[in-house]
Amino acid sequence: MLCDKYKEALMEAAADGAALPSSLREHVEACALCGARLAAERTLFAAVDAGLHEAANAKVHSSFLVNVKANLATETIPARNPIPGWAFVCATAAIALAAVFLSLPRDAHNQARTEAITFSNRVPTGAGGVELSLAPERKTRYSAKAIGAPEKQNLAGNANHEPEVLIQPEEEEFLKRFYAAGRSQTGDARAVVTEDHEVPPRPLVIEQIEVRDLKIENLDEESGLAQTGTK
Amino acid sequence: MQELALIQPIRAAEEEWSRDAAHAAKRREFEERLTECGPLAYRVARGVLRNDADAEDVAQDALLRAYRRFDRLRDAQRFRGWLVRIVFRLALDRARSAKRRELRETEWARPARRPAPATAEELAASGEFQAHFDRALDALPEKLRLVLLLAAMEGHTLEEVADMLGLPIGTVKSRLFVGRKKLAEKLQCYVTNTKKR
Repeated sequence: MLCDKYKEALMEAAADGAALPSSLREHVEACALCGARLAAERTLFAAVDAGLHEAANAKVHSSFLVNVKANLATETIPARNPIPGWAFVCATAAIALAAVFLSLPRDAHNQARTEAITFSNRVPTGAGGVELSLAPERKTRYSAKAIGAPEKQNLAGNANHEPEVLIQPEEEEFLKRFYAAGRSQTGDARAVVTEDHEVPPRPLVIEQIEVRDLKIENLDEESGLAQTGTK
Repeated sequence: MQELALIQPIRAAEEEWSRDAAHAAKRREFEERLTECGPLAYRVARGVLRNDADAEDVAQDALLRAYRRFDRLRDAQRFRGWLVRIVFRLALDRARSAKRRELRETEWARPARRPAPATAEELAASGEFQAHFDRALDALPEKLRLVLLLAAMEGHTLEEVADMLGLPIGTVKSRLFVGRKKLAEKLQCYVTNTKKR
């Protein structure tokens, strides 16, 4: 009964592997049963640690890394989508919101127009003023679109400077390889092309025109033509 | 009439070239880590499965998965912990499926019971202690088991284990203590029962 209260303390002391507290040490020295129990606990924990060491430190076969590297060599990495999935969700939500916002003014506009038509039917004089006030709004909206369109085209044109080639589909791969091979062997092919284009043009040299005095000679008398002279 | 394709050959070639270069760089970087972390992956798998062939299979699978997802790893310093978790998960899955298969097979062909050893010395001598130890380790909660295995590996300090698992050092120490104690309790009970028989 007296020893039972030391049971837990003995197990923890064996697990820690540290020195026993003074009260426990005195009891273990006095009690043969607790001394034997402590020794058994220490043996048990030693066996546990040995088992863990055996389980965790297995010898790695030399062929293991070789096999892994061989598998890596044959592994093809799937091209990662540069646009993550959440971007599609956000884009869809943005489009939906935009559609909602665009639909709101149009309803208000239609409602106002309907009211205006009703009003013009009821009161002929001055009703045109209401309709005229709507017309410039529409005009402005369309004109803004018309102005915006060429700007977008210009932006797209500026972003893409690469030359485009029209080829047959089956030749596309060969052409890509050709350019890739050219690039890997000689460096930046584009730089070479650019250098060719950037050679400063030679100025056109035109020899000076020599103006000589006009000599007036008598023509053959048989032709009968009159002689004329200019300088 | 044959259709023609409009392509930008220089841009396509550049994209292909840069993709190949990125893959080559990624593979080089991974292979450098493989030399250091490959044995770790194998030992974690072996610690869970306790079978060389299965451990090698699972470790290879885990390394290939890690390679495929290598560009998703934001912090390269976390590679060891990340790999350990992949291996541990795969090994646990494999162990569970093996256990289910074993259960199915033993339903049909239950082996004949052998007489239990009379004393703890006989138990150790018969080699059943290791089998019981394996069962006791399998019965531990996963978080305790992983800490026990990593801490028992040679060359791993508790700080390294804590860093690998992203845990405070106090948590690692506490799990280690609780894990060893639970193992000892399970084994003690078995030894006592054997003595009583």
